[in-house]
Amino acid sequence: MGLDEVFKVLSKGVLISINSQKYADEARFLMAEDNFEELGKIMKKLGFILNGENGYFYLSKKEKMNDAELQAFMNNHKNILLCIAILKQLFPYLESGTVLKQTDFIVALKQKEDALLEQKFEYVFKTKDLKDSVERFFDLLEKNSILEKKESDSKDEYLVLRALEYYTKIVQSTVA
Amino acid sequence: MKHSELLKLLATHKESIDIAYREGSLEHVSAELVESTLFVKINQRYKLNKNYVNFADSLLQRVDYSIIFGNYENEYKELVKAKKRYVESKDGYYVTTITTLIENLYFKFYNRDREIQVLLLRLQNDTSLDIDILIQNATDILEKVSELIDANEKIGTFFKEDLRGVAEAIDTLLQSITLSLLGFIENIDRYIQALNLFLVQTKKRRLQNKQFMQLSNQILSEECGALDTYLLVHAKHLYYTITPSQKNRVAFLPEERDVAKLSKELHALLHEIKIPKPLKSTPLKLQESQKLEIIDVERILAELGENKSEDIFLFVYTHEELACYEEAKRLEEAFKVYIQILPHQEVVYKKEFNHYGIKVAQWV
Repeated sequence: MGLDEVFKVLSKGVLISINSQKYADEARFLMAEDNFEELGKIMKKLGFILNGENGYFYLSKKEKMNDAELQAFMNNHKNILLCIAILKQLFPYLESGTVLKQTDFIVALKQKEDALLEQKFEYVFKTKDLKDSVERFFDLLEKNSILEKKESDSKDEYLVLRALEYYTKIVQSTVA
Repeated sequence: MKHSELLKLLATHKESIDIAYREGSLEHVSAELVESTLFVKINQRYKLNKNYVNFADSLLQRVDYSIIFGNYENEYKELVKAKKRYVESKDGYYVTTITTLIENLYFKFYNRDREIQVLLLRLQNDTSLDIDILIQNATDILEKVSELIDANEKIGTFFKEDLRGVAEAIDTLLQSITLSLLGFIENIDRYIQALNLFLVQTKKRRLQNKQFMQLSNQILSEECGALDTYLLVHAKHLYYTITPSQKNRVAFLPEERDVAKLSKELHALLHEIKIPKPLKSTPLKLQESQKLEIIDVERILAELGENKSEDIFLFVYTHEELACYEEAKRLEEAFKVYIQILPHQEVVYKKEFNHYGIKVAQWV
């Protein structure tokens, strides 16, 4: 594992969690203070900031984003925040390290008929069809480093990653 | 009934007893189970005697949140009474009574310690209850455990100060259990700390969940000014999900399935394109330049200027520079030279064509 390999992952917009199985090597590499500092210096030269906090690592942009970027950035954050709110509504004890089953999610969704839940799905996926949205819901959270398939061949079990804390921090900072 | 007969009874009816333990009650049971008081009829159904259930729960480490710890007041009163009677009468009977009461108290301490451990574990792993109810249960347990501090202290002091030296048998017993007893008393403080920590963490989780709900409602009703401001202010240190900008263009990272689709389509496309084999033009060029070097075009041009030919192609064709070629080849070479001459300013085109089918051009 070298700086180039870790950069390759981070540059794809991946939030590397320390409890990730997929990026366990990258996380271990970044947890070494020397590696983190060295990569941080290089990232700075490239116009990025290497952030490491609360058990996750990610890149942020040093320069100001343009309007279009900013809009996409904000929409993406709002969508993920709504998805986590859905998870928390269905599984109040969910936290990083929890193993979540897609089948349990579907069952919980069916049991909890809630207009606000539907609204959240509609806001993110622009459809009222909850069944259609479930797969997209898991895809979105997986793509945004909140969930990770427990086993690469398993379609049902997902691990809640440490990156969940990133969004929790935003919520705590904005809601009284 | 002898104990061995009781064990036999349990073994004979183990299936009925197991179902009743797991499901709570049975509609019909054998008469001997009722006679033995192992089952009691309540509300038209047969339930296992609570004493048996408590015994099984204790061994299987199953503790209900509603457990009542109680105190050791009854045993304490009996101990004080037995000690007084022994001091007065010196009857060995009271020594036996005292040791039995001490043993009972020790069992109570022992079981209570295990019960609290199990309760803590259950609380920490319980995800089936509503968070509010779980917090209420944990608060109740904390209260019950806290109440034990004084009772434990009272018994500890009584053992240490009032029962020591009363009788040798009592001293021996106290000696053997003191260490464990002190451990149980100290554990209470640890359990209280763990319960307090659990309550703080669970309350924090409840608050976080509420905050997530509150923020999501704000997003849905588009009243999330605080979130917008936070994201704008902290954008520099927030997770960057898009690639760097290129003149106001936002290039999103493609999803894996899109990349796979694109790759598949490109693969198919590239197989359809017929790539022509490169032409072997190099030898031809060499040949051409060699021949042009042989023909002195400059000489032809100079003579054209002198003779002012009416048909440049015929002039070239009949020129002695091309005399070495056979007729077909000479036509080809004459045409090449003709093409080279045409760009000159002195060349004027006529409307007619010569008998070689080539447009007549004059040198003026």
